[in-house]
Amino acid sequence: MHQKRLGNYGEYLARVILEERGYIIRKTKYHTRYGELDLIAEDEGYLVFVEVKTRIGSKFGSGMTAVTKLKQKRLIRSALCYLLRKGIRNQGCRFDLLSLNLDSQGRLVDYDLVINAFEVEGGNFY
Amino acid sequence: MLAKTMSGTVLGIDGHLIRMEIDLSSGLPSFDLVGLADTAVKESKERVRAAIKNSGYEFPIQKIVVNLAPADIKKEGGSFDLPIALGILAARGLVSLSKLAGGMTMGELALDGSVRPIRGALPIVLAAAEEGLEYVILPVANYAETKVVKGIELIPVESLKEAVEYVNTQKRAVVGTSAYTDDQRVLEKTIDDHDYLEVEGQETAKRALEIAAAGGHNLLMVGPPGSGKTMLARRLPSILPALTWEEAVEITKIYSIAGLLSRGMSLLTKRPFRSPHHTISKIGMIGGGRIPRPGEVTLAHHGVLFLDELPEFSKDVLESLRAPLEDRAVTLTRSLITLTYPAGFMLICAMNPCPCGFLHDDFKPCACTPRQVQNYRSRLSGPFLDRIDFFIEVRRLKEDEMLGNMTGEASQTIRERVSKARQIQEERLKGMSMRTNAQMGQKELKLFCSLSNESRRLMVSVIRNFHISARGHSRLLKVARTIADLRGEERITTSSLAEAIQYKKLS
Repeated sequence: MHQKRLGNYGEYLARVILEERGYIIRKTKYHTRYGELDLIAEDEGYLVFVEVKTRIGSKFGSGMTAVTKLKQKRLIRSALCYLLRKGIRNQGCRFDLLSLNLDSQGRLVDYDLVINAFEVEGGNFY
Repeated sequence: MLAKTMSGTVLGIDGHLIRMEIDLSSGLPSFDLVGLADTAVKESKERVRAAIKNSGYEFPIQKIVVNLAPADIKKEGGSFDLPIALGILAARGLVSLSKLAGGMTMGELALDGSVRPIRGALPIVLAAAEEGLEYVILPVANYAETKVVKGIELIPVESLKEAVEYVNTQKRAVVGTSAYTDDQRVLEKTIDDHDYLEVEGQETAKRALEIAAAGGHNLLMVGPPGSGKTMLARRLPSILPALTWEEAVEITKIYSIAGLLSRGMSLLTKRPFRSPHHTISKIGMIGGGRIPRPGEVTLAHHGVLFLDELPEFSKDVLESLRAPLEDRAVTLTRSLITLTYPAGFMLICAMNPCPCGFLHDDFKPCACTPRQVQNYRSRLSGPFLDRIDFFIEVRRLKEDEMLGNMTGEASQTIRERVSKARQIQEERLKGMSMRTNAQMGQKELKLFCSLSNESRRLMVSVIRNFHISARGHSRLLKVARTIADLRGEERITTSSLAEAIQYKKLS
């Protein structure tokens, strides 16, 4: 399956899964100059930035390991961009990570949702 | 929400209070520590996070800022884990804010939420009591050592959960025995495991050690291997006067900072006896390191520092002893900090007279060349030897001494004489910031060591015949003064001076 189509398919699946768990989806594929925020949702009073990782098989390891420090930095910068543009202040925020595992036919095998997967650390958003 | 509490850190041998502020606010989740925290303190973030989670509480997904004030004191160690964790829980409303603000907390957290012991608990608790804080929550393993502190409630805890429980309900999980004791008799009753009773013969050496103990003089023993130098030195603390309460607390503080108090050990009641190996480094001896720690000279404070095989110590190490011998303290200056550790010890050294060990021996001939002997002795510098008041030769025991069941005098009896002589000295030196004859300067020597005409004549002939220097002369006077004190003489008599002359430097 083509990478881009895989991503889109994954984001569609993610939306379904998260809505089922009570997330209210606000935005998908939000672009900023630092990169893309896959999903922006609301959950339990938090504004949640969800990063979706879709994998076929486990040849390349779990999607969890794919979110490196650099990727975290990009996501944090993008989130700050979003908050600034929308003028959102004093809002509890969170970064969640949803990792989807598909089999070779593209069926969902299982998924992993990490709530508050990472936090801002000593200036890693500059 | 903002939570406040107190904790402490150690600089030198004194505890300092650290004000802790923990603030939670919304925003991108983060956890930051500010206020000159070193690596071990920064790492506390991960411990706190795990400990809170594993104690059954929820770790907040919020922007967390922890401030340690004052910002100019360097903070080190893991003792801030517990106050940070309690502060976070308090800011979330799980712990009473007002109760937490009135006390002090310290302790390192394990990932499962249990509380681990810290270094320097005693000085920190002393500082807290001085400040008038209501209570101290501390690791259970540090409880015993802090029991000597008056006027503050001690709350030993085993886990974060117990600490939370206490702050909220005032119920202690671990019930300690009655806390504060200041029974001076504990100190007087302390008996050393070693006793001069066990040392046969060597009467001259024992007499010399008694005089050294009475006047706080430094001493060097020279003798062949196996003659009992180490045995004699090891028993010196048993004849030194009992510790006073203040001295005992000071020693316990030092050992608390050095992390040398084992669990359950309370006040140290014996004078320390430190005998570092001759391979010791300069830092090991006088203290220091990136995070300064007390060295052997500080660990021997109010006690005895014994250097066996003196010429084997590196020159660096021996020369570094000169300042603490003079000032009775060590000042360490590092880029970030200047610390002073106390170092008021009695220096006892032992060495062989030559490399083979049998020079001047009664039975065995010496196998060394004069040059070897000279090389061996030249490892000790003049300025270093100048700081030693006393030189004695320890001979090997003769057959009948070795086999006979002669027992020596009990340490307790000697100690009584020594204590009496010390009292006389303290009385005389009152208000002069010194306590023993060894510490006297030129002014005091003039005042208290005047000689009769007869003694003066003896002194003149000694100076003439043995080429004694000015410093050697004042050393002689000091030792003579101590002998006179042991004999209860008001003025130094000729016979006291004559005895002192025996202990001058060997040629």
